[in-house]
Amino acid sequence: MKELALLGWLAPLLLWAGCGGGAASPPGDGGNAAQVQGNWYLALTSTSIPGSQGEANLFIKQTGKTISAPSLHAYGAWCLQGGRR
Amino acid sequence: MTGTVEENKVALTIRIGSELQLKLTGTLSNGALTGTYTTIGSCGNGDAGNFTGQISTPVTSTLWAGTALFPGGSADFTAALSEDSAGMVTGSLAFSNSTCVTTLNITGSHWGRLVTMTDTNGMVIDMWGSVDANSKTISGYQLLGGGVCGFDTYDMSRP
Repeated sequence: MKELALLGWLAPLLLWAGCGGGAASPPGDGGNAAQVQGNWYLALTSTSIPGSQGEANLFIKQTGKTISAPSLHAYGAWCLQGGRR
Repeated sequence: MTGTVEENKVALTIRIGSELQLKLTGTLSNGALTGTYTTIGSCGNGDAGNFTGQISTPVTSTLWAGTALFPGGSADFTAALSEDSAGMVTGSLAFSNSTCVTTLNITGSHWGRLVTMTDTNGMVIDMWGSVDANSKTISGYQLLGGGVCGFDTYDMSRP
């Protein structure tokens, strides 16, 4: 299975995901939340599969302490494992 | 993606279908997000690791200038782009020396370091590319003229 995982990482698969937005947060609960709304680029480095990397591109919306991304673009190969796309 | 922010602690769950969840927990410091991730689901296979996150500034500017390459030549263009608070991009591109395209109105999106632009009048232009960390340059591929001009690369930058 490890070999399949490595194969998956080495042959990146483009993943588009439409994700549901988070529930709205109650008014006034954002007092202790840092502001993170905006365009984020996340670079992922695997520690279980040395040398493997992935990334995620998403626009984070924030309401108080609740964040969501209506859509995002993730780049990795996890779903090639086991021949699954 | 859903998540929470508690002071400077950020937790994200990215769901891709029913087969993969990426769970990320990180700390925001000086505008950068660093932390660890784990995977859940048949696709993740227990993979785990570290991540770093950087915010990408909006691409809003009237001072974009670039060049699109074609199989038989190239065309220079200027562009004015505006990005709203949800990462949606609108604007126009004006080509100065192209027989295929002149002025185009575009709509698109900016997610992370990815930008897509499509002509609002109907598939006359498709451009997708990568933005640098400061959103000062965009480079990628274009299908200008719906492919009539050919498929090739483009680069654009702003001061």
